Amino acid sequence: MDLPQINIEIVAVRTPDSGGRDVEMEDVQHGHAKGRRAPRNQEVFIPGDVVMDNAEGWMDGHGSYCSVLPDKRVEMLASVAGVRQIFTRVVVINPLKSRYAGEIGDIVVGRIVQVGRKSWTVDVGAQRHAVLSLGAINLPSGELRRKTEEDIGFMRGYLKEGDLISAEVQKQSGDGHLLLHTRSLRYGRLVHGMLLHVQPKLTKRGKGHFVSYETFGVHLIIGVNGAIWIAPTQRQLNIPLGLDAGEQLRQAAEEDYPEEQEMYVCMTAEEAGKFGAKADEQGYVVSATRSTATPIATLEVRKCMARIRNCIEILNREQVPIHRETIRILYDASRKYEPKELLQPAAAGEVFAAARQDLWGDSADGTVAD
Amino acid sequence: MADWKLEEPEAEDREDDAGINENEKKFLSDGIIDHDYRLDGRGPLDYRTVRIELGVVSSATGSAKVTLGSSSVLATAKLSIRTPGKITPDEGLIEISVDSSLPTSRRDNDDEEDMGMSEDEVKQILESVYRESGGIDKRRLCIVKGSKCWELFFDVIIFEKGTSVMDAASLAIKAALFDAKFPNLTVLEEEFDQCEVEFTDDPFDFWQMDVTRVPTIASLHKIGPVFLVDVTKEEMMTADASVVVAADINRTIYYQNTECGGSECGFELNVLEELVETSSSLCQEINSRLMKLLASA
Amino acid sequence: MELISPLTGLRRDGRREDEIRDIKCHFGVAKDADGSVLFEQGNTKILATVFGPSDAGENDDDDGDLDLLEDPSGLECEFKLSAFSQQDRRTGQGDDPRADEYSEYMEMCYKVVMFPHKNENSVVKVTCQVLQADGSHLAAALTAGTLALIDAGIQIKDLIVGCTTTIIDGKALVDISSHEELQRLPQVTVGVIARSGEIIVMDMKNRFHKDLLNPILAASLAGSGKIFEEVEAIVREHVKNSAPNFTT
Repeated sequence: MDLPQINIEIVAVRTPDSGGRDVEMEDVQHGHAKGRRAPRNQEVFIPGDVVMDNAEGWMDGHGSYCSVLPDKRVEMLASVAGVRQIFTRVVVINPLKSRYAGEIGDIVVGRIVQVGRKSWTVDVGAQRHAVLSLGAINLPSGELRRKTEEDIGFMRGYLKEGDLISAEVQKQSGDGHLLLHTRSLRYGRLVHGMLLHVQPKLTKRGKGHFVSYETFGVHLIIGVNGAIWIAPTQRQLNIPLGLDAGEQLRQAAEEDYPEEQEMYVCMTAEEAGKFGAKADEQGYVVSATRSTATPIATLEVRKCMARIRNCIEILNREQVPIHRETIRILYDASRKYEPKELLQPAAAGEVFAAARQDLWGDSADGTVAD
Repeated sequence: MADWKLEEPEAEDREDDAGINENEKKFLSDGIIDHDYRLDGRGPLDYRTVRIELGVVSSATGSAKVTLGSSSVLATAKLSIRTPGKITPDEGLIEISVDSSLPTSRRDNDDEEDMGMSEDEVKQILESVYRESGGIDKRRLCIVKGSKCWELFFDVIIFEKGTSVMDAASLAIKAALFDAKFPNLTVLEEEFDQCEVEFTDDPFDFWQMDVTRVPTIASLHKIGPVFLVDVTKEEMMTADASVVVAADINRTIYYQNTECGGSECGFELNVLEELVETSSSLCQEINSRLMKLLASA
Repeated sequence: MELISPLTGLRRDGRREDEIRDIKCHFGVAKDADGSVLFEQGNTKILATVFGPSDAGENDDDDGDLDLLEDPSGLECEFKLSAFSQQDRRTGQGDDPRADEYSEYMEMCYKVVMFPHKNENSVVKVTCQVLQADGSHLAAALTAGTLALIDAGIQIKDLIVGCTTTIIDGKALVDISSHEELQRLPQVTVGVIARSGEIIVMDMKNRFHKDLLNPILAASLAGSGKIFEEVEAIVREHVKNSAPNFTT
């Protein structure tokens, strides 16, 4: 019998027997830190360090706290290990890593974990789950309509457990929940593609979060929370919730998408059927003519997706910020390898070494060029 | 209050949906079924790099840490001298324990991180491969028939419970056994079936077991008609059936277990044949490479 | 056998009375945890992992009475001793009989330095697993857990360090190894807030005269101070090395 090719690469190492007792284990972070230039003269703090001995008039931001000394002097101390950053009157210590902490306007990719009475609970990898309330999504008749009992009953029809969405952080509630909204066509349910998780600190806010590699036919949504959605562009990625296709088209034409040059509006027959059924009940008509057939992701597109995925993995491992440019640099550097070869540490190391020059530019300050 | 009651049945069925959703599954399986192409670019029978570190725990006779994909497993071998069982006087004893470094509470609420195998399952499979089915030749552990034998303890600790935890655990056990040093003994007085053994003072006076024929485990997951090795978490959730096979370098099968994860499709005989063929050659390939590497390490 | 050589005045492993063992740390060893550290103090080796802070789930409904019973700090700690960690393999899957007690000590310590209001309705789980046992397990676990919390980026006011001390012939030996532990001598483990030196937990083993308490505690605090110095340097170095290749 002809067997398909089996590929397995095994690396075996023997721990050096120094004095019979010393044990070495692979050190992920240090290994990668080697040969890297030292960061700029940043001040390093660890919990309990005095950041400021007289903090009168200063605010303690994340990673710092104030304590009042017996002589009424206010001292500011660090509560995490990291480097200091000073904004106007606020002191922040940035920890090396931490859970995602949301800010207003962040674009996030999250998964619905629970359908509640009037809201969905969304896991965005933060300390607490985020909340997407029924009022924060676009409904068939536009966003100004009051939500009816019927809508509440149909919530699972819009979004159910396990569904992925892209959304924007609208505000932070008093008890630490993030409140999301999807009131724009760029946000909504994510259907065909794959999700990848990276360290949230590497996906910074303010850079292009919707990236479209037109030549490859691949589209990314880089969530600030470290969740990255990779999908083929042929297919409409985010189907606006509850909008009928005609409405969708009209709005697509009206809204300006700086990052998304091409905006495909299509729904699967299945999707249209789903919303159509609903729309009929409410008396809204779905324009079925726009529900074009879904193009299948070709092997070529899948190869690009795999390459992008593995490049992002390398960036993640090497602690390099992940955005349009860094992904492109690594993508170019990796061309001589098959996507799957990038999973091997040796090839990945070589690609990263080759890309290093471009990633850091010529500057010696250790920062990554934007 | 009535509303709350309405929600209750829904809250229960959400367990099925935890993890990835149907659309993601479809996208993933389309690539595999249509193109034999996985999301990270691998083909169905491509493993990720396996990393084996020998001798990582100095307080044990033999130890090995194996990293395979997202799984990371440490196996340690320890020895002690016991009396063999009455029924098998010429065989030694083998004990296997499995523990995880994850917090217990996290393992209990496996709503999102359900990695299929529990520690007990891993332990049960390892025991049946290495103890019951003769994966390790217990007669080699006999010192004096009916009186003294080695008891071989394997402690398997799961650092990271990825999807290929079975594969990694079996590789770790095999490598740890390869690494184990059995001290040479002198048997002293022998009367009425009783005897004493004495250890030598020389720490370099030991023998090592030939592990060439010790089996390893390959776990495969089936998506559509395709069988995959070393699956990712997403692939595991998508798979409709899984198979665990233990085989040695001669393609002798020591253990096989198939599981149709809730799907209605069972295995047909020819599929099963093909599967056994594939998996046993996988084990053969892995074993022969492993032996070469262990010898050079 | 004597613990201190009469000739050299040194302990069996060549240390002076007040000398601690070498400390080594590897951060981020368990990739799926929020924070993790492989902590070595001499031959005692501990894997500490932190998960969280993550959502505690449905604690925010109106059934407030039940919530009162629960621990509001949202901290769960676990101390585990691996079966193979010791020279003699422990039979069965038996946990250390004191593991639960140790878990509680950990919880007490970390609760003091954490900010409860910043972690409302969320859970932080700290697990310390002893992979290789050579004495001072609780003390090392307390230190290792703190480092894992730091690695996870969880806010703490100060570090917690632990130190186990014994006393023989009026000489206090700090950071004792398993050999020194076996002698049934008075033994004290302290968990202290590193900078202020406040003792959060004190665990005593074997009986001893009250007059010995002061010297043994003084030695423990001095030992903790030394452990803190080492750990502090390691964390600083770690932050320096892996910090930001990029700035904001």
